[in-house]
Amino acid sequence: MIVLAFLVIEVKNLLRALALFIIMSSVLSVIFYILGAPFIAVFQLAIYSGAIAVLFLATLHTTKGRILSEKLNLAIGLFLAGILFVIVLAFSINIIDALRVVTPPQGYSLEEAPFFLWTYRGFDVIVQGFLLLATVTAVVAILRKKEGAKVIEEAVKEDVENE
Amino acid sequence: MNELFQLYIPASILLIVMGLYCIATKRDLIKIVLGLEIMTSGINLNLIAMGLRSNGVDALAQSITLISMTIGACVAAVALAIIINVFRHYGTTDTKRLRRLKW
Repeated sequence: MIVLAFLVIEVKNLLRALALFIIMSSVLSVIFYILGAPFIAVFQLAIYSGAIAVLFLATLHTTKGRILSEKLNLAIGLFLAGILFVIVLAFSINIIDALRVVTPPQGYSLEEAPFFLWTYRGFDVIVQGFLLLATVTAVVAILRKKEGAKVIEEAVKEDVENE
Repeated sequence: MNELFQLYIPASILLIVMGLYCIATKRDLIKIVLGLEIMTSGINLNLIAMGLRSNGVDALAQSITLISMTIGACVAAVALAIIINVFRHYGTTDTKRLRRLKW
């Protein structure tokens, strides 16, 4: 994992660096699993190897032009999705076991489930909800089309037409 | 368990230092965000290694790690949105060239 992190930093090609980052995150996920945190392992896989990697790929496409052909893109996507599916399937048995350990003591009913969630995990849920909401608002605010830019573009067009 | 603790804490510290090195020395904005993510991964590993008990990882440590992961993802999303905006405005993601393009 340390070697992979070093390679991510030192490799010149950004696409290769991103691929190495995905592998590094997957290795870290396996380490979390070995340490006895299967939930964190699955979230590491889903968030870091999945979501963040896709965000990086989208940014690379936007800033460095089209970096892969359509067919190669599809093949890599299917390959990664297959690997992720197999890993989640392999973990799922242990996750179900872990869920059994986490559930509240005897006498637990379906009506008590929200109570359990909000009593013991309420803070997490609220914090993460606010974080995600703030992020979505920030990203929309940053990437929205600016009115000023449009006005400048129109002014430039008018100038060209007048000339 | 103690051996695992001794192994993973230095590894996490090394990851944090490598992330810092990447942020401090690299010129490409995307590489800098990658460094930030490596640093976050190191912090997550540190939290989990610190929460190691004889019967698994402490629930609070797992919970805090989950929040840290969410924060890491949010930071990456906002940072990448800013990078796209910077690229639209200046046409480059190289920090050295961005410095020259100051008004």
